[in-house]
Amino acid sequence: MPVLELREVTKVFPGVIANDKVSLVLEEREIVALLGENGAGKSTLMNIVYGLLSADQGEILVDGQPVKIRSSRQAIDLGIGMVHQHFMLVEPLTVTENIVLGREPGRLGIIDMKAARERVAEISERYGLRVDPDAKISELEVGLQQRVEILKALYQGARVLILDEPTAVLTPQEVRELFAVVRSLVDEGLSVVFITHKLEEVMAVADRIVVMRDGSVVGEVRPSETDEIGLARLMVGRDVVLRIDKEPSQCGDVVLEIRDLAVKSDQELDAVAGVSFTVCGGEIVAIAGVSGNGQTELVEALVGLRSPQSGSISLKGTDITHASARSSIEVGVSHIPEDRHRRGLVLPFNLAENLVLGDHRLKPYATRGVMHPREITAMAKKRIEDYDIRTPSEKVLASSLSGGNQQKVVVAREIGRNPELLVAAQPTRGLDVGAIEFVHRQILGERSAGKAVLLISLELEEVLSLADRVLVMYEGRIVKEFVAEEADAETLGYYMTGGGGTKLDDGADVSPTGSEVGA
Amino acid sequence: MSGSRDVVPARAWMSVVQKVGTPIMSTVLAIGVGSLIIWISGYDPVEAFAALFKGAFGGPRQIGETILRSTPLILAGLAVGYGFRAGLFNIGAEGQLMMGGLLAAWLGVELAGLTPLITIPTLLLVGALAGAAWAFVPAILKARIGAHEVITTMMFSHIARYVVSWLTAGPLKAPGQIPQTVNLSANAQIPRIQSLFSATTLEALPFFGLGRAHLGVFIAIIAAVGVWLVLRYTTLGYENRAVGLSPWAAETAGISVQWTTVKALCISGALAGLAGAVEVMGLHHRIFDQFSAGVGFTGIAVALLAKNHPIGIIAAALLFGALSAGSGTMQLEAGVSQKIILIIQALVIFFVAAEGIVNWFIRKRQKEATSGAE
Amino acid sequence: MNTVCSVLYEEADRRVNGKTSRILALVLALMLVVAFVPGCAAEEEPVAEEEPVAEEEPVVEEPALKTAMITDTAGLGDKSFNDLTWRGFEQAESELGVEVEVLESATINDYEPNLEQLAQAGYSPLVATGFLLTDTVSKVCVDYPDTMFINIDGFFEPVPANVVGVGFMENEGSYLAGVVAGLATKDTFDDRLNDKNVIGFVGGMDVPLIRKFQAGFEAGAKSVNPDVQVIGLYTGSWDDVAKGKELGLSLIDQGADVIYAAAGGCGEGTVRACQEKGALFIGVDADQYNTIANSGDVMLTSMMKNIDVVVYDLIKAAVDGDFPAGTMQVFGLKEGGVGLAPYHDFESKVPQSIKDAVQKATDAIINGTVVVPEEM
Repeated sequence: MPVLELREVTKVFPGVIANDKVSLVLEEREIVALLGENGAGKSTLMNIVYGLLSADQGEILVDGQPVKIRSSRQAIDLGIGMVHQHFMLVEPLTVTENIVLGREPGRLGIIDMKAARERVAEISERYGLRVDPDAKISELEVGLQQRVEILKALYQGARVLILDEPTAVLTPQEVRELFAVVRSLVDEGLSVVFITHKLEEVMAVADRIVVMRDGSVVGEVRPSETDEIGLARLMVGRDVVLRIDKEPSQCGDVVLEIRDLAVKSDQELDAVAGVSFTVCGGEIVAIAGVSGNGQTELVEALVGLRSPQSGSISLKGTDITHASARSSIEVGVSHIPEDRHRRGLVLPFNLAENLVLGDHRLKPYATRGVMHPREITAMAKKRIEDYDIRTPSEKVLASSLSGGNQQKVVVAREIGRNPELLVAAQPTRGLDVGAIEFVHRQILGERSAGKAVLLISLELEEVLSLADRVLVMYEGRIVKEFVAEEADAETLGYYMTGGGGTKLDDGADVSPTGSEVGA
Repeated sequence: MSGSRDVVPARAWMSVVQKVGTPIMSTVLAIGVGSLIIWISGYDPVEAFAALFKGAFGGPRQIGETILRSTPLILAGLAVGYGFRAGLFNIGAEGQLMMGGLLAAWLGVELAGLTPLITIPTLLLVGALAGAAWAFVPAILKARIGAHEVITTMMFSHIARYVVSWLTAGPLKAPGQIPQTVNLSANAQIPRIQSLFSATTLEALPFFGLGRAHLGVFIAIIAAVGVWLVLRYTTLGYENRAVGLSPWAAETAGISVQWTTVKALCISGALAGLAGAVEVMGLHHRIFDQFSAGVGFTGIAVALLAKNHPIGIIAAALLFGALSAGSGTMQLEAGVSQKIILIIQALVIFFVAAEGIVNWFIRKRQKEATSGAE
Repeated sequence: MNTVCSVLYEEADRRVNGKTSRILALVLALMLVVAFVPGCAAEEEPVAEEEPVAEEEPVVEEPALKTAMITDTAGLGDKSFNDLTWRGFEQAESELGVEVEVLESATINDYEPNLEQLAQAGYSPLVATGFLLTDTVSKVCVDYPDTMFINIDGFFEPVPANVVGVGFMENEGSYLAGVVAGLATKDTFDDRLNDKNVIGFVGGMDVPLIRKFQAGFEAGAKSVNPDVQVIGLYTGSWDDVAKGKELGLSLIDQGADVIYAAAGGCGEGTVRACQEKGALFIGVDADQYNTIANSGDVMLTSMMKNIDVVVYDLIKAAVDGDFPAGTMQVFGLKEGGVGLAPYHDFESKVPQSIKDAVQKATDAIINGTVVVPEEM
């Protein structure tokens, strides 16, 4: 008897059918991966199971019994736990306090902290989820915070654990640890639903893969019966090229030259501490590094959002060290920001307004402060066409598009401007395979057009597939430079985590385990 | 995205309904709760609102009174609304309004003897500049050191109030018992609408006997259309909106957030100053302590109700103007205190702010409508 | 209101967008409600007072006269001006059988339409309270020549044919208050009185009318205590209670032990200052022992303007057909327009010498041997 079964669950949002008669079975001690592009309806479905949304039609069975789940409290009582993409932890409280929150042991409102600690330690031991029970959440790394979320679900008695995009925020090493945890949970008798859009992850961890597209289940396979190409086809509905073959680099003149650049962070720390490199036309240079090692500040200095302390930046021989964001755009620097919701788009603006952002003062879109809607509309229509932005019209608000289409808007604007240098920061973060392929093709297109591209990415896969040269950034410095062919994920990961500076036990760390990272 | 998941076209008009629906529902709810309060106080709400309506629209004179009271509210609403569009809360529109009125009242007396064709535009411009100047210091403080405009404009509003209080009782005081300035001469006054018609025309067409309503209403409407055009068709308005909706994205796109902030607050102040000048030149013809009568604060309510849309602001100002114009008749005929109107105004804002409650009502109605159709 | 403001400021500390703007708006709305509800709460009283109007309706008999008042923006419930006028109306209603009505003005923009509306509805005479309405009365009276207007504290030059301007010799009443204060500060009948020989005056807006109060007060005090120091401060407002308190505290710090406030609603703040720091208070306009709650422990006396009496007399004159249209009517001590209220809780404490001095001054003013100055 399956522990959880969904029968023809349907959920309609105004104008959109999020789930269309979806049926799903989860057996005991099974890991089911729910695979699909962003907006395919995976999270909606699981939110229904967890009682956060209510289904319009269909049935949910737990242990073969039909149930109505109206709140997450009810879901927890039925043994269903969920770890959201965005953690729901109280930062100033300790691990133990967070775990027992809502179900504190003790009587008459007095919490028995000793009992709580013991119980937490016991669960932690049993499942091999080691974490300091007295640490404050705010002091923990993301991977450990996720562990706390899982512990919390286990503490509440979960037998079915739903993990919503659990790897989105993790480093490759943390991903590997998470997979180990998931396996040990299953060994202890739990069942897991693993929501993701990353192909290599499902291949690595799932017992069974359920693929969703446009709100419906379009296929169900076992990892042994398929490969990533097949999964991608199922997920996107067409053939997808995962790793684009590129021509050898045709390096032209030096476009970007950075010398001894030093930049301070908002906290007045030396975020970038003396960085020098060049990017020439027709070349993609990637900066690899763990988040928070100065990449953000480097990009901001480059595009005029942050003033460097010292050093110089020049574009085709013109000094732009202290250029404003405006003049930086005007001399030909385009910027795909790492946070498209915050910096890339004005979400409540429509697409035409977003597509003209940054060029809105220039001819032909405006003359002497008066904008020309007709020119802007024509440009927007062309960009929507050229960049395959899926939208009913250019008057639709950016906020109503899917993540992939939003990023296409940003890419269309920044590349459509025909820049000398494209600075692409995390250009595919959170995108599904179809959109990733599109963005990659656009970036490679710039390269073939003889433009310079600086790519900043946390995704090693992306770095390795696009870059001609890879610079590894660690604590504000470039610690290693590779020609792309010479680099592999494990070596990069080693330098990214400071391996080049402090000698670790090589044998233990640098042992590629296969499918988790890279292909 | 296949067909089933595409955005349903019906959504476009639904968003329009949602845009206009919330303010309308808020007003209806406010009047409902207001009725309840009237009823609890022992009066007849139907009678009260009938009297209110009569007092606001019952005849040309009443309509004129509604127009008169709406006029400064349109301009003050535009002032606050333009600021909101840049993400700024110009809570001190009242002070900028007072400075605009003060300068118009002072310079208007100095310019006695010139033709109205020169005097009136000059005074309007000076009033707007005075308002802009009064907003400039908070604007610079905001842009340079991040001092919050809610506090600085509010403080400047207090200063303006006491400046007016002091000047009207002291240096600018007209002879006599009352602390007020000298009356503006006719060349500096904005004419009443009815003064454009001869006595015989008015007899034949009594509709134009609009009482105290003056031509300033057209200045206000032109300003509203102007603000709408600026927001929609100029880089100034575009940058203003971009900064208001997402300062980070605007900054990334090379828009100076600081400079846009300064411009937005000054334009907001100019509109408020214009409101003051129009009020002084069209209605009071002089200033005295507290001549602004809280118009700048009501302007906040107008902007909120209109969701900062310039054309919506005209409608919202008319609503608030009508409420205020009809309140006297309501008190006389139904015995309900005029101040109930202030409660209704507050309730309107409350319901606009508590959009969730209103949306819940709308959804419920929609649900009932659809379930009824099944 | 202050706490609401501080909440607003804290909220405002964040950026005005998204959710925060909604919170801001909510706080603002709450602020509006809080700001207006007290004004309306005060309305509850007049609502009750208006009941007789409703009960009047069954009376089929045509009333002798329809008369009405319009308030200034303070409205009914101000425990001063507007309430006193209304008291005169109530008296006229019950004793003369006239029909009475009141229109409150929410803003200054309501003065003119309110007056017009009443004139059109056939009310006469119309009573407008306060000198701020003088302009409006002068304007409206031209359009309604058959309607009679009374403007309390209104000064007209010349007086239109259908208007009566009512003035009070506040300086005379204040002179008596000055006599009491000037003697009390030297006396020791209460342990809050010190030996610094300083008394204080809190004015509302700095206008000639209020200067008149101060002039009379100083003259009265100096007439019995030539060395006394009189410190005068102005709030610049009629309703800023906090300012009234602030100035009261400042006066006490400077040594004042008796404070006379002619500052409308601000006076209540000054009372609280006196209670906190230990000083005596002299009220204004009405007998404020009755109108400011829990003020008996500092309320030495009040300088009353008998507006109710004057209003009643003028309505009676209209009923009797001898309405003094086109004149200024000035009411001093002699006419019973001003005077001191009882000492109430201080009745037994105040020495007879002070009471005698007040009586002596009253007589001197009435028979003209003392002329009280109007300006300082």
